Amino acid sequence: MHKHLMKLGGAEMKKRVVILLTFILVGLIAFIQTALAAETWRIGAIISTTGHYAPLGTAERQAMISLSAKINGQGGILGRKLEVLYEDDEGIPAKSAFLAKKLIYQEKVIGILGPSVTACAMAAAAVCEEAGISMVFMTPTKEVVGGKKYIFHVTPGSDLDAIFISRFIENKLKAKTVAILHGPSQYDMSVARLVTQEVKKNPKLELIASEKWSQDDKDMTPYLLNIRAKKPQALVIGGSAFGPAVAIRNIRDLKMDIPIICTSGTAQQEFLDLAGEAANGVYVTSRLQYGNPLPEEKDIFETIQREYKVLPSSFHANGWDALLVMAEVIKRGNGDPKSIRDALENLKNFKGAIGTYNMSPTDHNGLTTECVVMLQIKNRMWAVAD
Amino acid sequence: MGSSINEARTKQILVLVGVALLLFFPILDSNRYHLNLTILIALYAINAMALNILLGVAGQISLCQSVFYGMGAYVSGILNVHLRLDFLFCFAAAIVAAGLLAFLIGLTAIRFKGHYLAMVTLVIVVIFIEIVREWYGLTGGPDGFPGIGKPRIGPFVFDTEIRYYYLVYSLTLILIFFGHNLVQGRTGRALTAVRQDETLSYTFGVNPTAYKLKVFVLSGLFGGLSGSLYAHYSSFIGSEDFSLHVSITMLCMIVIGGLRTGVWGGFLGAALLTLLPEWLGALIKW
Amino acid sequence: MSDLLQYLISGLTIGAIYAIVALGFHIIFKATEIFNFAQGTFVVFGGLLAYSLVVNAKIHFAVALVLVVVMGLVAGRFLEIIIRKPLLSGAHLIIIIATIAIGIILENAYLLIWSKEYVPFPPFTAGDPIPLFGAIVPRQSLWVIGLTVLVLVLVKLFFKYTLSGRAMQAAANNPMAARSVGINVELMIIYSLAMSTALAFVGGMMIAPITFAGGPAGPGLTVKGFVAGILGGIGNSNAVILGGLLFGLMESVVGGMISSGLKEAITFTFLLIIFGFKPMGLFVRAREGH
Repeated sequence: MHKHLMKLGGAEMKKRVVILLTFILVGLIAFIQTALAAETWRIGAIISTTGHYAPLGTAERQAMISLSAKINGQGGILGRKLEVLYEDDEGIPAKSAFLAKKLIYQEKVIGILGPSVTACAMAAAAVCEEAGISMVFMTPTKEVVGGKKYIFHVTPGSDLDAIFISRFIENKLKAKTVAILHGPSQYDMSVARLVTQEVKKNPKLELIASEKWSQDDKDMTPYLLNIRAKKPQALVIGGSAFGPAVAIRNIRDLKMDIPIICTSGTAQQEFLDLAGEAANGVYVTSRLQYGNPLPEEKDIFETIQREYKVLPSSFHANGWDALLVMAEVIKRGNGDPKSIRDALENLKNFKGAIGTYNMSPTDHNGLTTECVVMLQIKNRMWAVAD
Repeated sequence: MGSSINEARTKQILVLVGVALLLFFPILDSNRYHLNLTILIALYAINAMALNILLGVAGQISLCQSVFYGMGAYVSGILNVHLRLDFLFCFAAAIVAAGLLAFLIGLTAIRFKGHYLAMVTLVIVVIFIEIVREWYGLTGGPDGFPGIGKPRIGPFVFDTEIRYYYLVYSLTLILIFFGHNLVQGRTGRALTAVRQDETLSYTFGVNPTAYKLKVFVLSGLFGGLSGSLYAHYSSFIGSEDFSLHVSITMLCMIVIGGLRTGVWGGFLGAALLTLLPEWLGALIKW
Repeated sequence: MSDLLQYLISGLTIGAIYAIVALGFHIIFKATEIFNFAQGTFVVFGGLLAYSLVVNAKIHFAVALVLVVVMGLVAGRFLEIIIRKPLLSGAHLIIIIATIAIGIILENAYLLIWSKEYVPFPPFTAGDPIPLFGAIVPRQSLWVIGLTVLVLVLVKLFFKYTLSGRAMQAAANNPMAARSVGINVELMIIYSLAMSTALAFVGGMMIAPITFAGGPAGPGLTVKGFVAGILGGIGNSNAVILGGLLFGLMESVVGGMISSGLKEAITFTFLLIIFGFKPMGLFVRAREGH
């Protein structure tokens, strides 16, 4: 055994050291690469295109690719083309922070779009703030801004959804008792928490049940039974596409007769596909007005449908607006990071696909409940709710 | 005989060169992104080294290293942010907490071997992650835990990449030295005996259960130490930073770096797995 | 009361799938002493393949079921080729990482091949769920439970009464002795992997109407199926199946009656405690045969 160890120390060890040295050499050469044609505006985009949030990230990226191609096709910004460096953080916050450092210190970008997941955004925000590079992220969590100067977001806080939904339940549905069913992912839990808060704040509403499904639950029946036992007059489901689709099918099976409201994470084609007939009658909050797009939404509807053959989802809208806003402030700030930040903070009356932005030092999102629209699914298609 | 002296001498020189490189690296290259990379390598390497000892020497397959890493990070962060305790205290507490957790888990884990052990440790990860994500008030849940302070020893704050680099690497070097001695010495031989044949090791006066528990706790201590360093470096931690994926990555690091090379395999593997994707990406762009 | 019955129905349905996954693990383990960490991913893959057959190629369910079994056998054969070398050298860690890697690659392949994360799968027979003492039994649940029972019975018959089945058992119990009577042990290993994968694929097809085909559920299913198997006791096919059903029931009841938020954590902690006392499994007394 002693000889064995010695031998490993010798030949094996040498082989590995040689490999390591080779890599160091190659790596050093690669690091000394010069930046390509510097005549472009370089911005970074940290999106989760693999991992659990892949569908979100893919949609955001698609929108950015389309919009940046469109902008460049029309001559770019102030005569220079926009170059977007896409990076995938796989939904891991440590990676987001790492990629932010890479984009800022290695690739020397003047702005960053994304990340698309709250924890990742928090991680990257710390880096961007320290470096003085503006970050426009795409998750509905205000806390990521946390008073920082360089961090902004285009996705309306889930609190707007929560406020809208609670008003809707009170005024339109005229219901008093509410139950919540939500999933385990970041978005699901955060939106559920915010809806809970809103409902508790409203003296006319009462939250009587709250259940959570697990990651790959095939069957929500146990949770629905608990909810049914309490007899709520409205059910809010916090999820994306898969969870709510399973839940709603279970609800129809159990013959539960209750108005169902889903949050904007569910406003996507995949949900319609999965839920099928069961989805009819379900309410869903959304940013985009499907069935009857607003003038400022026409562009994204037309572009996404033409290039990807699907209706744009809220995630497409996130990516679209993030790039739109960034392009605008690059123009106004003439590519200087500090001016870009100032331009962002002073963005007023700027119409994006999601809504109209009115940013201020205390509001780095700039959206109000005006950007939320309530849809209802009729005949397996989106329609504006009456 | 002469050749083995030469081998030992070569190794010593290599080690000295390596240490010198590490010492002077930040002075040669102060690009924050590069320093970030090397710091991450060290943090992962500490965990990989623990696995080198746990798995490479003692033969215990553990998929829950990321849990000890996470335990260290969260304990350190929570004490720092919620209780406003000093870094040194948080750091020490994190190490103890992770070691304690490893002890508790180890009590059950040591009853299993091979694939069973792998599965049990996998289940531990699932439980840990779910608790972290549910306990919103304490850990920030799935949104993550921000605002962890930079490390401080007295009036000296480690708030630049360079300072952090030296902090992390001095600790890493100490751990390498410690680990190497452990593996080469009596404990290492005892652990090897446990790996090769548990029943037989009794005849050598080695109690496999005691040793397995000890080495499990060791992996917990290493994990807790690196976790705390990570938390204070990054100022933000999220549950995804300690997932099963991370554990598997750490295992891959020792497989690639060399399973039975004492603690060196872990370091080499960490370096390769961290740097390789970056270099390949850079090469592709060329 | 009807709520409890509903939990039981849900629990049995998912438990049946866990039982199939666990049986797959058991068959491989008996033959090779390894576990396939991609077992759950194979289940999902089977569901997706079934989707292509039934929805895209418009093949009848029954025919598709047979085709899926065949595809599973072939896939298992390929799996054996991939892991043969580390298998022979006994490098457990390599096999674990290899099967995990296969699982990851397969999962990433879904999006490329089927271009969607989940795809809806029609139930085998259409129709409303059947009411039963205040609870409802979805028709697909009946299919799942029924088919699982059928599959299990067939498997047991195979091992008991066919020559290949008995040869596989012999090879697993004592390879040396088996070789000496002319049994090709390597071939038996191939059979085991093929069978186990076929089982996984069939399970995937059965569960797809309930859960949609596709999705990242693979690793979760692997862990739960395995854990369920250990709960019952790997090494005995009856124990493993009971373990699967029990685990499904536990999950359903814990989730419904205790806490949906910490369902997984509680169930698994429960399990670890049980393992602490009975590491060989609940339904196993000593090392038994198939």
